[in-house]
Amino acid sequence: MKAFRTLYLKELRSLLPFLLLIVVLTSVSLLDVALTKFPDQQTLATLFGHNFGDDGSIIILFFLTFALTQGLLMRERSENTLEFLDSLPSSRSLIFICKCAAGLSLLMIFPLGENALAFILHAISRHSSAPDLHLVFFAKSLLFDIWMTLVFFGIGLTFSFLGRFSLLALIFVGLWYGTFKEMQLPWIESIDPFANVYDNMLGNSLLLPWRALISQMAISILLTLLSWWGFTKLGTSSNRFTLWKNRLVLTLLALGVGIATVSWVVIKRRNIAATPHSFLPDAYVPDFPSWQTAQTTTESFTFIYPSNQLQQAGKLISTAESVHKQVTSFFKVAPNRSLVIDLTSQSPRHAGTAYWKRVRMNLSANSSITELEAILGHELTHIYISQLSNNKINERFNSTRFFHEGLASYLEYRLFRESSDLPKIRKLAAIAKVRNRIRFEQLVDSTKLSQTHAIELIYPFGELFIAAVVSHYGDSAPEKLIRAFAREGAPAKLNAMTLWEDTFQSCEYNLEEVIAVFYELLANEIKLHQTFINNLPSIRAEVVRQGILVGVKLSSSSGSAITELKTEQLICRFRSDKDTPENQYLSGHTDDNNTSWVLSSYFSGKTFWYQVGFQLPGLSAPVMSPWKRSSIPKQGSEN
Amino acid sequence: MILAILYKELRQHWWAFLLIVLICSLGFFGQFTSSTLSEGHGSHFTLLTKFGIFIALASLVLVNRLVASEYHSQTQLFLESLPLPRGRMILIKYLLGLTVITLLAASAFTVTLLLGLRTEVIDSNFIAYLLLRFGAFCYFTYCFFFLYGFLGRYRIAFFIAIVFTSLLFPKMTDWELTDLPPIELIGATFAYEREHFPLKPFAVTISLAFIFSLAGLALATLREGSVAGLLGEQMSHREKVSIAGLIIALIFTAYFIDERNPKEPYQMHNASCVGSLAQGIVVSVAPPSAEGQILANKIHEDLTALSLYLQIEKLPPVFVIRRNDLDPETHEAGSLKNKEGIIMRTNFAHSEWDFNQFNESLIARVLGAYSNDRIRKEDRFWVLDGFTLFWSRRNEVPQSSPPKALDRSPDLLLRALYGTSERPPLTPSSMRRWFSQQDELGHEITAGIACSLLRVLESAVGEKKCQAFLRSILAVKNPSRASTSLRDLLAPPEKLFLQHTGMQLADFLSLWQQELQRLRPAYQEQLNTLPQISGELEFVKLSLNSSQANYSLVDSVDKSPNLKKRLYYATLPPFANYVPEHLLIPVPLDFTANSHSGILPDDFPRGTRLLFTFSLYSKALKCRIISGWQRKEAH
Repeated sequence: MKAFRTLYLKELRSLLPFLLLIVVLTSVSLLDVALTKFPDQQTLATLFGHNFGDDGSIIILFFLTFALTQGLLMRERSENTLEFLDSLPSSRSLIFICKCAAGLSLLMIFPLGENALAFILHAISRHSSAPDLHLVFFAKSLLFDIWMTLVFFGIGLTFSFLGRFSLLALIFVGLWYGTFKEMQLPWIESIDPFANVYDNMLGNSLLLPWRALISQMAISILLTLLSWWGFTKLGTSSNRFTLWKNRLVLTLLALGVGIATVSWVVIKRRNIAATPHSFLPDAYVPDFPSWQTAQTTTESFTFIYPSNQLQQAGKLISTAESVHKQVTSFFKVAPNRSLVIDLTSQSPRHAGTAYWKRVRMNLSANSSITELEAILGHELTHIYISQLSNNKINERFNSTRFFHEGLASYLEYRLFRESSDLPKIRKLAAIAKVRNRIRFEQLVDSTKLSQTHAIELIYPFGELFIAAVVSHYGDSAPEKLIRAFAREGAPAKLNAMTLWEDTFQSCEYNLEEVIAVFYELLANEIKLHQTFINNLPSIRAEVVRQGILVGVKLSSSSGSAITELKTEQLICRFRSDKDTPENQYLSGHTDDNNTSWVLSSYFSGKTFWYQVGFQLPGLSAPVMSPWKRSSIPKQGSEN
Repeated sequence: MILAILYKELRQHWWAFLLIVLICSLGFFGQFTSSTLSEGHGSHFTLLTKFGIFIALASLVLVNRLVASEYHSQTQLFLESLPLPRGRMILIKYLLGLTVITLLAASAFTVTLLLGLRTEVIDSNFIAYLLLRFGAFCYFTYCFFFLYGFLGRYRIAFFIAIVFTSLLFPKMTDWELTDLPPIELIGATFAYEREHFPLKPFAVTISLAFIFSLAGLALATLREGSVAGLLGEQMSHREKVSIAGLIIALIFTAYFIDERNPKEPYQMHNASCVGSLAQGIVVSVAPPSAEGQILANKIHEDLTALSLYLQIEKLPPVFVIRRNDLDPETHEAGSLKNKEGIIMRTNFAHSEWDFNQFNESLIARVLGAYSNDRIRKEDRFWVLDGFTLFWSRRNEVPQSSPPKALDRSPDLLLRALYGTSERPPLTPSSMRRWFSQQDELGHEITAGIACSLLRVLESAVGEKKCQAFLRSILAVKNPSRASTSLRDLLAPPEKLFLQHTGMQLADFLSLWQQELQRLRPAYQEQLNTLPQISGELEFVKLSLNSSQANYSLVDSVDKSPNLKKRLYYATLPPFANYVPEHLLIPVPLDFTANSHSGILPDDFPRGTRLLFTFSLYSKALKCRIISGWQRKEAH
């Protein structure tokens, strides 16, 4: 005990710089509140409104832990004090325990401080209609932070043995984790220590994702044990790690393990994709085609296309210049003569995508030349928006996405589709306004919009906004606004409404007037299609469970079966948390009872999100309801 | 000798080189897989952009091995004892590291080129552009870290400074990381641009790389290598503390300067404008029109009078936008996060639009913004609640003499009487719990109660004292910091009330109750005809995890058709108790029936918290009567 205390205090003294760092970091939060806010008006609702738990504190905790653990064990070797330690009447294991205890003691100050501050602020900010202290929530939050500190500690200890390679290795591991996430393997999120646990809120209750936490802790314990073993072997005469043969063997072994892991993952992923009802749409299966490609150059374009689709490609190639001319005429710019049109895309999710001077289109998915021209026109608009703004508009894509897609859709429908097609997109805006009460302010933050609603709404609403701009300020207004992004002295740190206010003001336009016109146009569309909207089915969803599957049963709002829609018209998609990227949404498999199923193992937390909708002829996209979060029913609670 | 040194370096670091190459190769493969799966790439050459981070880290590790560890362990002294110029020795290390990086970069480039053969338009021009841009970036990165390696014990501090600068600088200025020439070289246009070569960023990058290389070589050879040797030594305790303190001070200063920057006023073009910033009050109404000008003048006049009454020098500029799609009684508030000003959207051209009603909302927002929302703290909120009506209805002609009697606005008096019927009398404690009052009665009724309080106060203590009290709450400056909270803790509204009016709040409340009781009999008949409204909302399970919401309305007393019977509901975010007005979903109820039931069209997953109330419009009160805001959770 005495030896433990002595060693523990010795380690604490050597970690004093970290104590200072931790105190400083904790003080930043305190000073932030003290110097820039009213401490007695910071309820938990206010803190949550400012992204409580999503503000990077878990990242700070990780890097703090990582930095501390880097020197905790290996410093003894680099400073050649191992022999001194060995001369003490204490085992390596005791020294290891003391070091870990000292390190953890310091690290705990950060989560304790952060949670204590949040609790005190909430306690003094409560008011009569919200008097609850939410002790259980704070206890869980603190438990989670302490738990994660322990998880990060084990990871950091192991990486510390890599010395200067630790940072490289960390990024490497992170990259591969991201790759596995893209593959959408079940269970993979269970080992993500950065998953936003505060997304697992059910009402005011925080549901800790125990399965994921235990998985992570198990890995951390294993890594800690490995570190303990490594520390006990460090610097001993039996350590022949410095021998080149052993280093080579170790490197090849690590490489072998890495390749084996990756291969297993890839094979497993393909097996899942090949399994019926694997609940993965084809979009997520990477395909490496074997057909050859050919190229054709026109005045403005170089086309790349599958050589076995020459006829289909030929149709588009022959009319592409005309499409190009119409787009450039609208923008009143000279046509760019070095654009690449890549027709080899196989993405069923995107008919076309635009990059800087390059368009990718899925030739196979669209057979009609009108459709191909419309898509090309849409994508070329994106290219010219980027060009005219010198790419500045893309640097704030979160705030400008609705404008990008809106203008592209506007020109698509105005120049390349029949006027009778316009209601297909406008009706969607009208429906979303009536049913979901979408406001303009939501469009200028596409991340927040995608968290609550279908991101596809930026197309119809964006198109209507551009129509409002053009109606109020003329055809040249969109081009003027785009160029305003690239003007000298344009402020770089604006976003959302302030960005658009600034942009409009620089053109001597009035954003609020355009918004007023936008709402007027929207009101007109609602009036025009009122009957259609009133007759739309209302879908209700029930969350159900069956074995390893979680499902959403769709019925009409009266509770009876849906008669107006066929099963194939119903849509249900899932995601694990509100920040899941769109390309990682899961499509459910819908059975004959209109229940859409997905594997529960895709969700590492205790909650999941679902969104229901339906596709109707006469609409350019499905009608989707807002995203909803539900707890995952327990296995055994089958309906 | 050169070969010998080379052989020595290879023998010493082959393992590190191999590991770097392996990690980078696997990293490249991982990026390729991720890119293919995410469908996020328009060109295979974007892989090189992403691979840049591996080049940077590989450079960092390489230089650490080749340079930093040599000087840290002072084995360079051995090398300097060899018959080889110091500069040549450093040059060998420099070139060796550069060779490894070049091999890595070249391999990545070649593989990417091969991958892109099918779907890229490849010509010599394009390849040259890509090669030059990527090559320049890699060279710059390596040279930067080469110099970095010689900073010795100041490496960490330098690294922290770089990291925080790159995080804070973009926040505080209009500069962005992507503006840096080396980053710009492999930026968004790298994989696609085949026409214009970014000559300026290229030249700057290469120049910087040369400068870093020369600086590194200079550091290594300066004063016969003693400078580099000294830098490689351990930091003293004093140095550590000094540098840590300096970095922390810089971080704090930068952060808080940015946070406390005053907001610039918002500007609106093409609007009817009255006033100026110099005068302290600016009102703009858009779009410009004769009607808008009249409204702007009226608002400006009112705000000028308000600023005189409360002795406020400068009020936030006000912008009013006409919105023809809004109902006449709807007044939406806009949000200006980084600019100073108030935006209100309203349908002021509508025939049923009421200026007083609009002005209530406007005054609340103006004073809220002026006070940094301090006035919305619960213990003093009743003052704002009452003042919005007190001020906007101040010019109403008294119904009877003497002037300024409580009953000069019958509807407001009725609100006060309605809100205090069969309820415990108001006490200083319940005044501090104003949000609960609002929950039970609704904002419009509590505003009527608070307005009557202010009117009684004015008649009891005189205009000057009443004004002084109002100023002490509404017009005081409230900088956003803890000292304001402390100030208010030491001087709560009750204390200010006593200080400025000479009356204890409890005594005043008794006086006010007496005044209401005196007037109640005259209005009892009207009160008896006012409707009561009540209703219930229950969650009924559809499944274990989903529910539907069944509601039922019962109202009594009033058999005549009431206007605008509604159920208002909204989903609450975690821990929130309220939502902005525009998020409330109105469900129209049958106005001819006294009872009505139905099912909300939505389904509610378990855990959904719902805020709801039933309401109807009372012509006599000129406001809504509610059943009381309730919050329920679907289980």
